Amino acid sequence: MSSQSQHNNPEWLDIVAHKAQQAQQPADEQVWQRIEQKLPARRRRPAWLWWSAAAATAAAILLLVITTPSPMVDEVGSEVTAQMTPVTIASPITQETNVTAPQPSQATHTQSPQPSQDRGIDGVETHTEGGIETATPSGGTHVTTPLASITEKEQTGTTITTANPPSTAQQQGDPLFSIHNYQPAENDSQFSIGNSQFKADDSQFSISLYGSGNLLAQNSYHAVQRPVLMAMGNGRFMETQASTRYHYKHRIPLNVGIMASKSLPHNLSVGIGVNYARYSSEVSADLERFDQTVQFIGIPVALQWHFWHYRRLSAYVGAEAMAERCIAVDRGDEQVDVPRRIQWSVHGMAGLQLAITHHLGLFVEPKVSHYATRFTLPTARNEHPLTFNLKMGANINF
Amino acid sequence: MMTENDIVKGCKQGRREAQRALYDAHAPHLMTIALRYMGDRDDAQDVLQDALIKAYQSIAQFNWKGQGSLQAWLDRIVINTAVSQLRHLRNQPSQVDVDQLADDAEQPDTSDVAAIDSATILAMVASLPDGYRTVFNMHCIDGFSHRDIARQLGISEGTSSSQLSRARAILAHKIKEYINQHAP
Repeated sequence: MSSQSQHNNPEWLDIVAHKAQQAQQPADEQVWQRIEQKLPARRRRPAWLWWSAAAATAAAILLLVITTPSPMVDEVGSEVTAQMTPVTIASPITQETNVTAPQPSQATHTQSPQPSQDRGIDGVETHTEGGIETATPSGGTHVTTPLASITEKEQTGTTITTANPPSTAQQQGDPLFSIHNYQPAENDSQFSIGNSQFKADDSQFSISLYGSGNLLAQNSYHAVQRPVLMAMGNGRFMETQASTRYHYKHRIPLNVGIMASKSLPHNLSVGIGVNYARYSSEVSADLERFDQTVQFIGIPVALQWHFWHYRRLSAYVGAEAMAERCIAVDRGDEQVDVPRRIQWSVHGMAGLQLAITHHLGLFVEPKVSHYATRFTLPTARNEHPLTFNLKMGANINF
Repeated sequence: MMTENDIVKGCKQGRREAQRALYDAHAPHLMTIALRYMGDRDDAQDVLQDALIKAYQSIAQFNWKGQGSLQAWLDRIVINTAVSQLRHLRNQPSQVDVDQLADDAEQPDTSDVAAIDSATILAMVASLPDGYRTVFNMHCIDGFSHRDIARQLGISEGTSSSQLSRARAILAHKIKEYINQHAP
């Protein structure tokens, strides 16, 4: 860094400069203590630990989604809800509940003329034996869900009778007998695909497997890492003769993940998942060349609205927020430690979905992403915090 | 005893013993640089602390290229931190009768300067008025051009040049005073 001669210093100044550089001034021990306090403790956890934690979180959320009650849809679109509360009945007396669907205003019991082909509750006989309720089909449909509270639409004219009418107290308090009329909410039917035989979207939830790449990454990015303070928020750089410039050639980022989604009323769905992102770059300087790989694992939370559907096709728009954490940084053959604060990003997407079967669908989803948190090392997302991605994957519906 | 390369690798892995080894090996030299720029020991220690924290946090970007490369990298961080701090404080040159000093300025004898110990020279440099001290350090000791100095400090090249002349005059005066006081 010193280049006194080029500035034509007088000789006495060269001696001053040399002596000033030679001087040694030990710092107080408190300086190290203060530095040590501000340095993060080493937290080197293996990558598999982060994967396990993320998978466990996703599994727990998936379980929650599965076990959470949600609206059901029968074959004609009328809506019946069933709270899946475990049933316990104090009385050992066997009770039989016939649920029939006669014509409106009919007082007599009429067996449902058509057995349900979907998940309606027509013709269900509910038996309670030994305090445990079981349900058997009387009209051809098998319902195994323990029904604690049955709600039906007034519009269907369905009546529900019980062989042994419950007491008032039971009607008011016991969930088994809390049968009441249902006021249908407008547009709270599940998303359906027209008259298609495939009713993929009347599912309670779905799991999506996807991958995505950057739409604008056909030509890799080039970036130059300036000396030292680039990542420190210091707007000014001292470019001395000793400065080292690293040239980064970023490769196409890779994102893969899995997302569990749950249908909501009004053609909405909400999902949560696990996302793995890999950013690879080729780094070169004057005399060296090496690869840099940065890996993130994230938890995306998404909300989608299906606004159009025709036969097997449907279209949707959505928004997503994701929290990511860096799990590994490799530069050359070294694994380096960098500050690993949470990386936040927001995404907007519009997608097209094709139902292949009842349980399988494919989707393609152009997506715009904004990465709000800058990462310490230069990566493609640092160079272009606002990017366009193309996400593709498969839905497995349940 | 850890080698410099081992220290760098250890710091990249966040190992505390490597961070401490870096501190032990380089803190005295870095403290000297900080003191040259800041002029005050407490301020210099603050700069040293901030600079080393930045170094530890960004060492992932540093690639070791042989003995001495780490020292050069750390030097730059300390200088940048000190200059940034001085800019932030908006220090102005103290009121010194520099015109008279410039008129009186005579070049000290090389042999006289060589006889002065390093700590005294460092103290003389550190005692220069703030603005002059910064320009003197950047130009005469750390090799920055007036163009770089002007850009870094937000001043004109002419101002940088004139401040350097005055700094040299003040320093020459201090050296002559010291020699006169310690003459046998």
